[in-house]
Amino acid sequence: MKTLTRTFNFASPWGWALGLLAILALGWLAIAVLGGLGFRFDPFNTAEKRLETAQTTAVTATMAAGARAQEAVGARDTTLKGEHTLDQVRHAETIAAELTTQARAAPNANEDLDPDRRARLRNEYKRLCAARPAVCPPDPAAPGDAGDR
Amino acid sequence: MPATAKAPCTLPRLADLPTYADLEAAYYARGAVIVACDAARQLAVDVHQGEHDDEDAWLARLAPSGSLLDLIEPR
Repeated sequence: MKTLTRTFNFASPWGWALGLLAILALGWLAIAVLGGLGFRFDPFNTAEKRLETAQTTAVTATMAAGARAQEAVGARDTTLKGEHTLDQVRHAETIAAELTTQARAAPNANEDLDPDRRARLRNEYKRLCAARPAVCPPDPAAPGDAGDR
Repeated sequence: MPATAKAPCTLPRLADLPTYADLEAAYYARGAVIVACDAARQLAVDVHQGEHDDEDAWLARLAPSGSLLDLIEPR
């Protein structure tokens, strides 16, 4: 002990620091040994917090993956329904086109309508447009004009 | 929502000096527009309903215990 106190003067600040370092080293060694024996030194419960974080991350990832899968199925279904709708629209347009061709071949096809009837039809169109402007194209020559000569 | 369902319907109109053929063509055109509009309406309804069904199915998966952990630890 005399040799030790002669080598390190524990009464000096350098000696105090050295003593503190020795105590810390012993503490770390004790924790390491106890850890090896199965004891866990976790005063701030960090392991459980890490577990909770990992579980939350896993839940979030699972939810996101499930939602993406469901969205993909929904998008495919919507595409199929959209194609079915377009088929119906094309079918209706084909019927109209076929019958229009026959109408143009009728004996009185090129006879003008009388003025009163024209006025009534124009009036009906204007009133319907006033009731719901969105269904009327702004340009009379735009698509939607049934006068397809 | 598909573009088909969002596009507005268009009312066919007659030419300024229509013939009988024009009148008949307009009648057919309006019929086709009605069919197209109803198909688009049905598409919009189906897509809307499909979205809600997906949400309900998703919520039902969460419902058994109310715990999010059920998603990764099914009972």
